[in-house]
Amino acid sequence: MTRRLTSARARAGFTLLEVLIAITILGMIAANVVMVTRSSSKAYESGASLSTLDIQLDNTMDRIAMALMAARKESLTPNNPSPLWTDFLIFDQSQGFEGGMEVIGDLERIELVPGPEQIVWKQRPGALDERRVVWTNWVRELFKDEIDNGIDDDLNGLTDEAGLSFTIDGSRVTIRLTLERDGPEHSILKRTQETTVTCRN
Amino acid sequence: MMKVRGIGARARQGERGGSVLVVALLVVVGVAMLGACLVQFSASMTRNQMQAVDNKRAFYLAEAGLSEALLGLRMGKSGNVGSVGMPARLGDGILWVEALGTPDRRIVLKSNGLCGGGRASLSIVVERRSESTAALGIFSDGDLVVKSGSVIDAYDSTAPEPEELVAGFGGLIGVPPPPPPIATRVGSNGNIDVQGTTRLTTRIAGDVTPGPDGVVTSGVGVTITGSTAPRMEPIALPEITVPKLDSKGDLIHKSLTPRTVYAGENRYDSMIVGAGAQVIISGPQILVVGSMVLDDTARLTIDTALGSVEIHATEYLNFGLGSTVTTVLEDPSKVRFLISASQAVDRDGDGVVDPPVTINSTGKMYATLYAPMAPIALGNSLELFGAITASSLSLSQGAKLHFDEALLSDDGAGAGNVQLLSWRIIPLPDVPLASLRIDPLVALRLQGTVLTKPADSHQLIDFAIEFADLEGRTRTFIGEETQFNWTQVQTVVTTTRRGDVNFDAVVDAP
Amino acid sequence: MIELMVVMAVLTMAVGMFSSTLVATSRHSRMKRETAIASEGARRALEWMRSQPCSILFAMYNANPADDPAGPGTAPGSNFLVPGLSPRKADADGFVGQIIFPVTNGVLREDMVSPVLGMPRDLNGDDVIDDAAHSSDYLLLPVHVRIEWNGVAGDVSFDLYNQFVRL
Repeated sequence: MTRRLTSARARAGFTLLEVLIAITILGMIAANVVMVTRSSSKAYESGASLSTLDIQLDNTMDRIAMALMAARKESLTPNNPSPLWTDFLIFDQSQGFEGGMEVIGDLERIELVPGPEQIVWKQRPGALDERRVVWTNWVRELFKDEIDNGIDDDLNGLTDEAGLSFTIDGSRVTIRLTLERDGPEHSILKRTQETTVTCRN
Repeated sequence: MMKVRGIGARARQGERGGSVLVVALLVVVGVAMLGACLVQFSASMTRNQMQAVDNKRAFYLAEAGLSEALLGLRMGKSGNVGSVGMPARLGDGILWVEALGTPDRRIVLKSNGLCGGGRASLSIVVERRSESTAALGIFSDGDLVVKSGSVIDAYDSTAPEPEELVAGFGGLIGVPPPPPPIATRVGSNGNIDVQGTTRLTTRIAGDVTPGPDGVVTSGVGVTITGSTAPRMEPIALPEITVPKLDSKGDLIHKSLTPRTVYAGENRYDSMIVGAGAQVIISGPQILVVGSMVLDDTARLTIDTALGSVEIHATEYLNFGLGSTVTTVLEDPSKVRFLISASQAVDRDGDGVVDPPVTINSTGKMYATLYAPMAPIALGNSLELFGAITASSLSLSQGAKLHFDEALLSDDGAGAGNVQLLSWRIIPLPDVPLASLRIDPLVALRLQGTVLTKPADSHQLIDFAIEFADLEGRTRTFIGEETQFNWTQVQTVVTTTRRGDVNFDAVVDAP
Repeated sequence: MIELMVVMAVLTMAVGMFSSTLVATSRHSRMKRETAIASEGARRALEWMRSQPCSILFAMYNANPADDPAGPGTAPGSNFLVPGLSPRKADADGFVGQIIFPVTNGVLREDMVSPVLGMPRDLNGDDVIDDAAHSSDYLLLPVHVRIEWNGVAGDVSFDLYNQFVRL
């Protein structure tokens, strides 16, 4: 008699109601956790993408600015005053003096290369030993909110300017740059920066 | 039976109890790790962004260091500002500048700026400008001719006005002592011919100095109060460096309404002021013109109330008959005409070549004129206060020139004696303060270093060394010996210290 | 049941803390972005000053429009905007950027005290610190560019320091 009771007790389980309640509650908890995790990962992704874009924009802008600050003003080509703009600049820099003569560095070129848009820095452009470095990808084809329609959409005095554009005013160079990349869930992340530097040479 | 079932049920619950808590704990640990990763990522992004911001701060501190060093050079200091061991503090960062001489008598300034985690190093090459050309007085590179009836003397534009005669109590009158005599300077690298007659006497109150192989010839009625001995060596007239500015086209003004050229840096291909018209040039300004023409009776007014005016004429300068050049302040050091024109060209199509410089103005002009490659014939309608230098100079009958002795202390530019030749960004120095990306103010405070402001950080000059650096280039250093970096020395050429017999000669050498 | 309730409470707390971490890092990113924008605005101001002759910088960028070189009111003045930054509520003129010189009552003075600008100091190269006005004969011009704005972290500021010399 005791043995039969024990095996009967060993086989006893949950009631259906208990199981249903447990599953429901666990499911709710799991759903909440998944929702939070998904939304936080989306936010993380978006935030991370934006932060990366910001850093890329700042770094690229700083590189261009430093290069142009050291450029010799008379070497800037093309010398396009506003409202004319250019998406490339050729220049050289002074490297100091040796033996009483000024030493001029190699010709350099910063340009927006299309398809996919990227900013490329070249040393000795066109030469056999040309050196090139990609400074950034994700450059928007047109600056800020510009649309290719022949109109100055962003009211900055320039028409349909490229995602990287330069205008020159004496010894001052204004640099305009817009970076754009895909964000989570097919969103578009965009960052724009505009600065002016003065050639010191 | 009931009792046994109850105990069994409780036992089964006890075996299964607490397992959900374990799962929950695992989930919490997972979420915590996610959070930690997020924080770490954010911190890394922040470090990058703050580095970029601090680099900007450091860059402008380095530029401030260059400005400080340039000011020091202008004031006769070494150009060294602070040192890596004792930098100067500006704003929320530090800076120091190292000055090194080069064999071609230029100076390389290397400035380092540090702020937070940001670092920047900049280098410029500068050159001291030659001695003031205005101090030459009335000077001709070739022969100089002074026709009869001329007066050439000197005055001091900075001297106070002599006190009025004062009638005191009881009729007593106080009379100030006479000022010391002021001597003019008339010189050339060739001969000087001073003409005069008994009716038209010529007076030169000062020295008349011809070139090493030249002589002074003077006729009757000529009075020269100073020496006429020739100079030992010819004077090399420095070239004019024309600022590179973008042209604004032509400025042709013929209206009777005055036109103002506002302060700043301006360039015109040509400036033509029509008859009776007036152009006002406001200082401070650097004006570059290809050709400057004042038609007959045109007026040029130079307003130096807010700063000096420097006018470059690169091709042609013609002040027509009856034109006037007036200055708001009667201070010749504030108005400089730098004329690099040299070619005689037939400009009006009459078959006769026109000289590059023609001055037929009337009235008084307070200015210095420097035309090392152009001959000038100065008429007697213009009374010049200041100085004039030309490739050859001829003063017509009855000319009046007054050399301003205050120009002797002019450093040659009216604005400075240092010229910037080259600017560039250089790699950071290999010192711990630059390599470790910690806040330099914190690091130096821990070391107990007391930082001074840039004005108090200029190094005293007590040591001069000429040496070959690690790359074999010859360099010179003049400054404080305690601040000199001996690790950059490969071989020593010479050293001198304050107190040595030749120290002053070494330090003052151009 | 009690176990489940405890678990739910613990998980809710964990998720809540994670969310607040997320919000904080996002806010932090925006703060840093604003600082980057401010630093770029300050750089731009200094670069524009760099392109002008040093001798007219004080007149162009001080708060007095009467001494503007090209005529009263024609110079940029001491205040400027930085796109992307909002002025503080207490900011009367609505400009976030300001260019600060060592002045006393609008006059450039050598005896003005400002440790961040290295003042008092000689400005006109005569090796003497006096109480005269040096608005037109300075050789060295210390500059403090300050950006003050109202951002995600409240009222914040950014400073940049430089010196210009007359050659």
